[in-house]
Amino acid sequence: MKIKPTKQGRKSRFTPKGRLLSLAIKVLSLAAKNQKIGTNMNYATQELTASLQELTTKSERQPRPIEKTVPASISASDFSFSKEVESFLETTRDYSAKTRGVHVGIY
Amino acid sequence: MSFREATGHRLDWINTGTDQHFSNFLFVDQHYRSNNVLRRIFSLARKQNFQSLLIEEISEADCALLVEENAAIRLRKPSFDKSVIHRLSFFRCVKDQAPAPTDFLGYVIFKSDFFTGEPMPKDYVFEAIVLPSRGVEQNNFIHCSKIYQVKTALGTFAIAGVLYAQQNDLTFVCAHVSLRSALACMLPDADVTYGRLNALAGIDHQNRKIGESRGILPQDIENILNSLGVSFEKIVHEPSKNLDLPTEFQRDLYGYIESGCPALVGFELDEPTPGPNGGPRHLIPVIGHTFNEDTWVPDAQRAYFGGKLSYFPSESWLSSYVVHDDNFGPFYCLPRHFLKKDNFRIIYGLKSQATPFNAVEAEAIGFDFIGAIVKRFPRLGQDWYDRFAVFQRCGLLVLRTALVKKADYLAHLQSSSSRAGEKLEAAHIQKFQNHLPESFWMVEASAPELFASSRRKFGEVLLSAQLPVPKPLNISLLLAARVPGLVMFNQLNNIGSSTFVMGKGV
Repeated sequence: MKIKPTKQGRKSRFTPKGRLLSLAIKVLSLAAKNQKIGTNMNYATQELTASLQELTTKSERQPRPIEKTVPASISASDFSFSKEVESFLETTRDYSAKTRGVHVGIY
Repeated sequence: MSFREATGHRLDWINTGTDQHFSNFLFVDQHYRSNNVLRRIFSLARKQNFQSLLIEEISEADCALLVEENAAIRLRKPSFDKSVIHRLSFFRCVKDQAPAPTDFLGYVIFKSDFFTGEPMPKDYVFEAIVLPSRGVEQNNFIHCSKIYQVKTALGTFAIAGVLYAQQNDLTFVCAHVSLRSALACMLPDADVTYGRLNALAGIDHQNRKIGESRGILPQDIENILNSLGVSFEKIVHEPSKNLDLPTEFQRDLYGYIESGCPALVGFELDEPTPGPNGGPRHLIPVIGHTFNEDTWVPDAQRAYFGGKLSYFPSESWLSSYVVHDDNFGPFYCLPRHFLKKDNFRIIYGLKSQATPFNAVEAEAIGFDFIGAIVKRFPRLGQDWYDRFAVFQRCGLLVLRTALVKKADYLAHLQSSSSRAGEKLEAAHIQKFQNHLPESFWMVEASAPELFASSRRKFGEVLLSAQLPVPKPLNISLLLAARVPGLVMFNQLNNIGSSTFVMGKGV
């Protein structure tokens, strides 16, 4: 990708350093957003409201068909799995294995 | 021969309407020594507006099961003299009016065992099948009922329900009656005898006795289930053994119930001076749940009390579990968080088939698959798909997971339609028919306002219930997915080359 010329006296986000900084900020803000959505219900609700409003505005501008067939496919590589789920499964698996032979008390 | 099939000797048929000034209390006090469980069952019959009661006596000559039961009691306690059995049948019609099939509200087998030297007999409800007082219209869901035929002096009638039973504390205890209720939901015969349960557990009433403070071991319960070929999962929480369940047992419990199977829940009683293994324990069958459409819990739990999930489990709308308790009677509601980990000790979740992972784990995996679909298709330009994607991105989907049979799922697809009345094309249904195994996990995705009010959903992902979870996780578990506008099938089940063919869906 070409680097665009910079304006004098102003540090551009398009310099290699600026681009890295911009990318880092973007990644951090996305991570922060995901973190917020995961843990902050009020934030998630605000995000939902904004996104639904955005959809409504677009829909009003351009009426959409009720049904549409979309020819496409997902390849296996498109799937990524969260560490949290893997870790959760490991925890439940380990505990289940640990307690399989446990017999305590009488009923 | 069971008590349902035995010929009874008719003792009486009486009117029981309140306009006839019939009193449940007086009747149970006068004839059944004020038995509290029988009073509970009569109160359930009252809620069904029962108008008459048929009273029959069953003798050993007419019931092989009674002979077997009495022989076991005699072996266990030689002072056993005799028993008196009454079969009480509840009807909506009045006395002397021929009952229609829908007039039959259920029956009770009330057994009184007499012992030499004891002034009072030991009374208990040997079994009962009665209608619950609330149904789906009142947001009460019992998915594991069976239909029973009951022969009475007024004819043979059908009744749907979950068998209830009370222990006699001699030849069967709380674990036996809980197992009997649960197994009745699972076994083809819809019942099992205590003689069989004891034989499978090695209890012969001589070398090994139960009752009078002697219960059975978890190992016995597992031997019985294994011997009968009933699949189950065990959830254990034993703080005294440093075994602290890392998850909420309510979610596991809900997974079994939503999949149409009962569960056995064991808990420790509060005891001022517990022994090395804690206080005494009790086991009850959990057979259903209630649902509160307007509960505050799902939102509040995540917003105010540090919920870490990125979706709403549908279990959050559960209000109570429906349970039988042999000490108190059938169809009680156990509030979702009443039984805390302080007392909770074990769940045996019965299953229609063995699965390598449970409903809670399936839901976590399904959550990831849904996320991957939305990541791949952030927008389709269709209102409902785009809303689904927005709810997923905001972590506000509702997920509900159940183990389903292919036939039930196909019937569900055939009966489903979009808000515009459009049904899924027959070609897609045929693809599901060809593609799916006989049973699988279904993880449904909905929005809180949809799920709670109309139970409608965006769609679902279907996961294998046969394959173990691969490490690391990959798409081999994903069978198919259906979300607004898209139907996808995992065609090759091969990580390197799997593709999902998409088509029009509802």
